[in-house]
Amino acid sequence: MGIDIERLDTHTDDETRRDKTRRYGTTGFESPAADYLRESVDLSRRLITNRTATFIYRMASDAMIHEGIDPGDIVVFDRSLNHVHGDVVVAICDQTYLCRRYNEVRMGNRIQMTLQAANPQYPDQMIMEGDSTFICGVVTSIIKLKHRARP
Amino acid sequence: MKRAFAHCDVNTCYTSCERVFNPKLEGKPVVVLSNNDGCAISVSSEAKALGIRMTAPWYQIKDIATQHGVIVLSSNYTLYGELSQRFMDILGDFVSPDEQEVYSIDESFLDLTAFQQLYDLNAYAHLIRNRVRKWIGLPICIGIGSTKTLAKLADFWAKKHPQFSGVCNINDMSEAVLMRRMARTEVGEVWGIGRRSARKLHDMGIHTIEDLVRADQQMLQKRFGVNLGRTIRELNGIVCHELTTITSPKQQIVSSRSFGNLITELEPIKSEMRYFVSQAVTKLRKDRSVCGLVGVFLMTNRHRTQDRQYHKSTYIRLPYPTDDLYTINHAAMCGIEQLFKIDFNFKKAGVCLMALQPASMTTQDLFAGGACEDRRERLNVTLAEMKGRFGPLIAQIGNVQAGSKARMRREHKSPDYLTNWHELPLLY
Repeated sequence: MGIDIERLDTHTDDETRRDKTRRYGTTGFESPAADYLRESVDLSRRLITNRTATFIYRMASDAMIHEGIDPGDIVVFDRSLNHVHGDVVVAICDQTYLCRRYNEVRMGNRIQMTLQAANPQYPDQMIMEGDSTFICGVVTSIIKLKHRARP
Repeated sequence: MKRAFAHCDVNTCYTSCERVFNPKLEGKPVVVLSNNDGCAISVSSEAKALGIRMTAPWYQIKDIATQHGVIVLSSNYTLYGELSQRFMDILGDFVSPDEQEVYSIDESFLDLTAFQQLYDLNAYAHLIRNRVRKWIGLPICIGIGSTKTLAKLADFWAKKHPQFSGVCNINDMSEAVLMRRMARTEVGEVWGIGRRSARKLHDMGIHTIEDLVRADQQMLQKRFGVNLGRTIRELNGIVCHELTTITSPKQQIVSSRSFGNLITELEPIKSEMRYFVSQAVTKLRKDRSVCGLVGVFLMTNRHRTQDRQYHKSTYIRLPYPTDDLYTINHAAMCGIEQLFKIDFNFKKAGVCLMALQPASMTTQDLFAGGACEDRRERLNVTLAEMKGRFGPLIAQIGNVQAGSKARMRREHKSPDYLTNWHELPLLY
């Protein structure tokens, strides 16, 4: 049992779909489309490739507002992915979950890793050797609900 | 070829699950309480250091907790269940389904025998451990041994001694080192040796695992029964317990819980029982099993020393193995009526379905079949579907307290981070 996304997924196999048509199927002529039935596009499959390692959080600050990530947006991230320069990541910093851009900047002959917000009010955070900042995973999509169903 | 079993389990599972979503709990003493906030069922190492023990009743530790700022949480089984599922899935990626036993919510046995020619098992175990940590944020330890009992013992050592960095492999140890470790570990730590047996063994001068392994096996088996005999053979590397995998059905199904308040009358207890029965039967049908024996138990609160105490159970053998809610419910009601006595403050009851076997293996009883059975089956299926779609409380037999779940005391529960759109964890 998970959130709806998970439940949606259980009935999307090509096979199940055809079986259903068969079960409730036609008594007269078989539908000419029967052989062409394909799985309809499924958001949860598109957005989540590794279900086991994917987590869904909600953005609560305006730190990434110039990246188009607004407060209230749904953030999907995959903990199995390794972050590289330029990724939007989820990190734990000072015991708080942050959403930031991960950057590597060459400084002399060493590489400085930073977490950058997309809002000038938030300063860059350097990741130092031995500090407790921990990058959990890479953000794979942002979901904005445009028409919120009434509660 | 030597067998290789691995025992994997999550370190202080429930507190670790809470920490995944609430990093502020990291490094702090945390305690998770059982249903109805009864007693401590998960104690972080920091809280252990303050002297808080597992299963300590809440009212006994309340003072220490407030004094030292221990963070106390009610159990959030929805969350733990979801993470447990992911944990088992990750382990499942490393072996085939008949090489994995899901032993409890936070423990799993793997049979790695076939892998030892392909991989260095220690490296393989570290790979598993690191993946669980990275993918779902849970810290685990892994023990490897030539039997399940040894694997579990290895896991105990892996947890206890940081020098193993989370993976302890007994198959790699020399006989001398193994014996030295066994000589330093209490006999009560062995899987399958309960507190009472441990005490009896102590009285006989058997204090450590080494004492047990070197003792007269036949004499002990005569005194303690065949199970201890098996345990000793397993400690000596002789496999007596194979994995119980997804393909082999469960041994028993228990559904029980403490009541929100003390109950003195039969009717409300029966109402609670109906709920337990329906939970247990749902599980039974999901496993495609049938049961032949229904156990029922009823007890008072043994921590209320001012109360008269009563702990009793009984068993009802069913006329034929079944998964029929009505038959099982009827049996449980008969059982609880037998057990109930007036003038006691009851705290807890439960039902246990036993003598389980796969539904497909049942031989049709002469008196069991017929049209009536067919209609019953259709009703059972409909009920199960309704529960699946609308939740477990939608339809029940007889008078079930619809508020049972709501009444449960869970004052300090964390949000349903993984299963409720309105309670998603937040990013800043």
